[in-house]
Amino acid sequence: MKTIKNRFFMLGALVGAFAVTGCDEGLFDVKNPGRILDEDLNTAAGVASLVTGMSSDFSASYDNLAFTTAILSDEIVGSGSYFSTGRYRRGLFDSEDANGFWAGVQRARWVAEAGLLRMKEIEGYQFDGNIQTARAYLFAGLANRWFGENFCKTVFSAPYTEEVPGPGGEIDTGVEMDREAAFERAVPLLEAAIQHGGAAGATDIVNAARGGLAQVYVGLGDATNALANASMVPTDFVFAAAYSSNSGREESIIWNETHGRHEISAWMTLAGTYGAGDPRTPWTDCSDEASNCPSGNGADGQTIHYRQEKYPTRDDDIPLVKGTEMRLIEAEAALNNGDLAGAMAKINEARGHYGLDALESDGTIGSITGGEGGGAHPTSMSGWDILDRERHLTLWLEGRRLWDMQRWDHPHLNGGGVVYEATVDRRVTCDVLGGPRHIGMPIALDECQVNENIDTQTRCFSK
Amino acid sequence: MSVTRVSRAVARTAIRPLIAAAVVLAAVQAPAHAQTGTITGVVRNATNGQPIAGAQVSIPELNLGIQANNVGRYLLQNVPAGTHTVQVRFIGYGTVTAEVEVSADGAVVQDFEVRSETISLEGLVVTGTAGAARRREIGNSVTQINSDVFESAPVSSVADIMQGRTLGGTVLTNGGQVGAGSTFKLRGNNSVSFSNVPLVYLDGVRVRERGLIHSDEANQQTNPFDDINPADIERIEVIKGAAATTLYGTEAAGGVIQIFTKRGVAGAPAWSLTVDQGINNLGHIGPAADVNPTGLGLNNCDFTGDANFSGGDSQFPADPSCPASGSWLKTGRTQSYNLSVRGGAERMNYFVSAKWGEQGGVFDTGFDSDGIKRPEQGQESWNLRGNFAFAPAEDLDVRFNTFYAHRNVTWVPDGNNAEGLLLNVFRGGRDYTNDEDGKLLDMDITNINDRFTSGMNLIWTPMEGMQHRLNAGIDWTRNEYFEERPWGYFYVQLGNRETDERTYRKLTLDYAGSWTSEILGLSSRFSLGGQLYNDFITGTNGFGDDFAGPGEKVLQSGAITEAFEVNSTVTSGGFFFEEVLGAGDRFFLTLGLRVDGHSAFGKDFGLQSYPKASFSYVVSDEAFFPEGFGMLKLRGAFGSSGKAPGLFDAARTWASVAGDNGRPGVTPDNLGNPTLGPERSTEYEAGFEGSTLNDRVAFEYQYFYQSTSDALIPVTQIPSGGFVGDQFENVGLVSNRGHEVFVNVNLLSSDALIWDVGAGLATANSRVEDLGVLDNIPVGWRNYVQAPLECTEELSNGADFDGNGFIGQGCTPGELVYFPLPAFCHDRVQNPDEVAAPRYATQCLGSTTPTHTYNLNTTMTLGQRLTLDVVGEGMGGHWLSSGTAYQNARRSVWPTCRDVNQAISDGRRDQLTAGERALCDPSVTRYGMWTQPADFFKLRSVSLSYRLPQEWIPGRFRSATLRLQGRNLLTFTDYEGVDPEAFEDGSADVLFRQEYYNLPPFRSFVLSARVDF
Repeated sequence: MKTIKNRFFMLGALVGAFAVTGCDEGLFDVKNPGRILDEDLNTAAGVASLVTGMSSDFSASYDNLAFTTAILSDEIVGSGSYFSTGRYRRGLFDSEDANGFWAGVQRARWVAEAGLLRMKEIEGYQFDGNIQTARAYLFAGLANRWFGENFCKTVFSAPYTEEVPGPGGEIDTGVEMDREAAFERAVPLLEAAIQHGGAAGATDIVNAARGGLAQVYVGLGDATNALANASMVPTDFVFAAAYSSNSGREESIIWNETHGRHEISAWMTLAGTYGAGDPRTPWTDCSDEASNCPSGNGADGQTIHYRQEKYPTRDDDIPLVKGTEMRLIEAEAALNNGDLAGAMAKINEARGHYGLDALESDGTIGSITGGEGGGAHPTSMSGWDILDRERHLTLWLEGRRLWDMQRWDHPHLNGGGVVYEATVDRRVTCDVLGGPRHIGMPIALDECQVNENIDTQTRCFSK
Repeated sequence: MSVTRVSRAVARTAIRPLIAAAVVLAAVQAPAHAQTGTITGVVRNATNGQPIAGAQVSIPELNLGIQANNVGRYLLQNVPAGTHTVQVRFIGYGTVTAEVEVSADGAVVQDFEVRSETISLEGLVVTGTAGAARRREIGNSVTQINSDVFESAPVSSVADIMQGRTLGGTVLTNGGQVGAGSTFKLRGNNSVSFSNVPLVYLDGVRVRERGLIHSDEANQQTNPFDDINPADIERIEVIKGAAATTLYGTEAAGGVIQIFTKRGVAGAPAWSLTVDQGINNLGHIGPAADVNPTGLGLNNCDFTGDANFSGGDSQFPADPSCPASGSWLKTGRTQSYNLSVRGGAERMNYFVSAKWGEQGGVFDTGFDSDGIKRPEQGQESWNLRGNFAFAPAEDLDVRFNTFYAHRNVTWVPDGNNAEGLLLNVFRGGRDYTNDEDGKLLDMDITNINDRFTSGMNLIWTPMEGMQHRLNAGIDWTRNEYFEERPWGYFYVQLGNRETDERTYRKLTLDYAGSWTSEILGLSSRFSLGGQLYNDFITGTNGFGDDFAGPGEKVLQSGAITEAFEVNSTVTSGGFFFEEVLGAGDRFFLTLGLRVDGHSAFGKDFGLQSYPKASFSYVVSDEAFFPEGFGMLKLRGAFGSSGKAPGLFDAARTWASVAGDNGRPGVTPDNLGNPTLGPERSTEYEAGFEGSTLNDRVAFEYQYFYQSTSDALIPVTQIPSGGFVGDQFENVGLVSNRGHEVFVNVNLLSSDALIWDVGAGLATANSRVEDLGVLDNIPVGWRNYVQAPLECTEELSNGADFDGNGFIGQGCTPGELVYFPLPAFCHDRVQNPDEVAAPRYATQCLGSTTPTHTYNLNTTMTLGQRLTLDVVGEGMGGHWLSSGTAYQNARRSVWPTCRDVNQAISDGRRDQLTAGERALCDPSVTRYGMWTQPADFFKLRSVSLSYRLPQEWIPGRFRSATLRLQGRNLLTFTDYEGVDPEAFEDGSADVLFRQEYYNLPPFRSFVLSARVDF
């Protein structure tokens, strides 16, 4: 009996030992196919994938920004049934709404900035004068431009690194900064892109970086440097966020939300009225049976679906830097200098690129007066109204309109248009900032919740 | 122990041959056993007269026993002459005894009738204990559902069995498409981030407990529970909280359900054939106040007008694609055929069954544009089971249990889906289809499940008091999903196709040994054991877009293709020790410890240990206890269990992506946390159970308190640091508490009439105590996990729009306000009575998971032949958003908004109150306005069965029964959406709930015939 009992307990000891030993010997190891460990990226051969990842992360979020800011700025009308687009259509956008957009731009910025730090340390990688280095700097710079143009405030924290592993580790947590901080951050990054791109003979990267510099100098109110950089970019130049039907992640959401679904419509917008037939703002009237659309209405069942055709396929890239915008930057500088003729020349140079007739102003520089239909005045021929309208149409659905409205303190921000419902009296604003109107996306709720430097009482809000 | 309803009637015709055999045998053996006799008879279910196969019949004082054969017959031989107490025991049934006088060479006929008992102290329980334990020894609550309880009820799935019969369990039906899985939860939610679904074991083998591939188009998924043939089930045991599930370790915090299938017993083959024929249908849809008779266009899609709507209703115009019947609904036909046989010899037995069935859904899918009948919504299934047992030695039992199931489900696009049928039908003319909704049904959605579960149970009893049990098994499920929009499909004109194929494999290796002895006058059962579970998932998901032309397709028919692969392995395991000390067979103390390892723990985390302790005190066995009261057991339990983090949550990783038109790239995937461990649920439970009035009243009560510490919370990692996304951290604290009580009363018990009435009530109130640095976590559709808030005047004094209250109403400024897990929070109008535009404030309304469930059931049997079984169930305390009502109100097509819509149309918007506008004005209505209490009571099932008299049936048949059954017959609710139980995401294992254009659960009627031969 004793022997049996002893054997019984020995069996128990074996079971326990088996389980414990199993833990040490790898019995419980995670099978992890498809994922890449952080340290495995530290190879020269992997740099191309790292930089392609920067491009991919940029594109993966930028289309959603362009889609959403188009609704928030009345470039286009939200005609869908998404809970969120219903809010955006009414100008409602709060810190919780900002979560995904904030994360998108922070990731695009961080993968490029942190990637550059990693690339500098990779043994065997020729950092200087390498086209991959130039591309990485370009994406870092353009991500900061995107950040500054679309958010009321910016925050930069020191990046998580292998030494600072996040949970439990301390990072240098950022503080709230004005949007200009993003533009300032972009300048050296884009200059580095020009330097390395030039050394690598990558003209496209150099042009894109110069165009990006022109954009950020506009943001900084530095007309001289904006003009200097814009003038070096050819009118027919385009650098775009890449989209593709190669994989779902690479597809453009704007295509999906307009062709795959009916979530936004050009109906009753400037593009849908004044812009009819304009090659910069192509659309199809789906209520016309000949259009062969699945449905004549938007997903809300009532808004006529004017389906955008600027991005008619999944593969259509979204421009980030265009020579035609550079001409409009030059035109804006001219207007600021009181040079109406010079401004009209630049505007018409851009129009000519699209095969459009030259415009003739009414001889006045005027000011931006705005219009009911979609922001820019549809018929006024004063210099500023023409520029407003031309930027609206030239940069249509490229994620730029909200920024123009902010920097011009646009009259359309007062609300009450056809597209925004009459009950809404304010556009997407960062109301809590007080003072002059701040138009754009607020600091995200996610940042508010975990970054102790952010004053959640005054910087984070819900609507 | 009680002596109940023992019949000493003369031998019945059916057992005469057995008696004769016994007599002959006794005569042959007379020289050797001159002073012995035999006892023989049949063990039957007292309620329905059906034989109980496998019941243990014994004379304990003689250490003499035998198992009743496959038709309930037993034969005790060589019984010494004299008076003996014969005892009958069977798991889930009350023990009965009879005094039998045996004469030398005599043959006594002694039939027994046993009753299924929810509470039987001598009944054996194997779930949550190291080995089989008598209920009197167990300190936690256990629910047992025996087959006789549901054999006469209209059940077609395990969910049907458990619904209304599991105290503390919530089984939500979710949707009305045939094949849609249900949602199971025990004692509500205790995890913020991970599954709250209980673990499931089938004959000792752990099986997949969660839904399979989710259809984004049908917004449903099948549940592997439904592949199990209810007719194969002998009993189900349910344990609910960490106090009971400790020995199951990590992942068991949501409870454990163990299903036992039927086993073979000795005897000639005993066959059973059941044939079911029935229908499914759906009544009127939509708010009762709707004066339009079309049922939101679903019941009638060809409406051309009536007295209220001359010439038709502009909101719901006649649909040119409406089926010829004039309705999108039809009566679906169901049929199934189940054949089983059980038998065996002394050392070998078997149970084999086969079932084929098909169920038609309630959608009329009509004909496509080419006049070809579209596939109907419904499912076809078949099951095979073989359970074999043999005893190669006196001390060794070996059992093999194997089943295979195949199920083919055809879905219809539904739910939160632009191409969903209900979404487009309910929205009338304001939809995606230009009100030709039949076009949607050209989409094909098919789901195919194949499932194989096989296990071996080995029980070795080398000596009295020692037992070793080894379970090893595999649960293998293959799920294929196909979704295709044909070329020319109205919404995606070039068409597309998706295929998703997953294989899930779970391996179980489970050993437990126990040693029973005496220590210092105390009984002792020491057990130890260990388990290893290996969970492997693999699969591919492919897409093909843009076909070149018509015809049957494969993925590569698309001009654009894309594929994904899923491949993961999780291994978990642990070992345990348990000691049960007993004093006087009335007081028991159990102490146990479980130690676990898991693939998903951080590399620096190590092992996790879970202790348990419980006591059981059968106070009614004490001398001081009033005689005649009956039985009363007091019990209390404490224990811990856990939930493991996700497979890769602990490691820092990057994911492969494509960019720049198909070039390889990487993107941040997971930040990683080397100290990550499981969340830990600790539970205290105390209660009592018993019976009184000669066992005619059975009762049970317990209070439980659970707290989940180190709760795994997805903490956002400062986005401005760049590595965006969440990383799980062990920082949260969630509590959950509730009461559970049931009473079962045998009102009448005679040969003429047995009438039982039962009622149960269970509450589960979860509360978020702490979320670390987070204020809240959105979990979907304005459902939040909300950390406690300090009460403010604004919160306290908010307007109560509909009089149903809100969280924090009337709170004292400065005190903490707590929220359930999860809570619904959104905009509610603050000036409802003002004639003005609405002003809104965010208010949290309440839990979106029911906080209490109750059931009422009754069974009435006349003459052991005619049985009426009724089960009703109610749930409440929860809120549900009607996405249907909100989205329709936004489109001015919700019936209860007609007056407001008319006022707006007439230009009288400025005469409306803010409350009216907040609900029905399309420009300002908010989701929160359409979120309402969703309390309901449903008549889950009614069954009338009749066991035919023996003389009515051919001689070779042992019995025959006819049943008429109805399911989901009536709903009582004030909820104004489509159905208080509908859920937009099928049986998806998520925290949030909302109703969004889902077909509500249908009702079923089945006529069933069963013959045993």
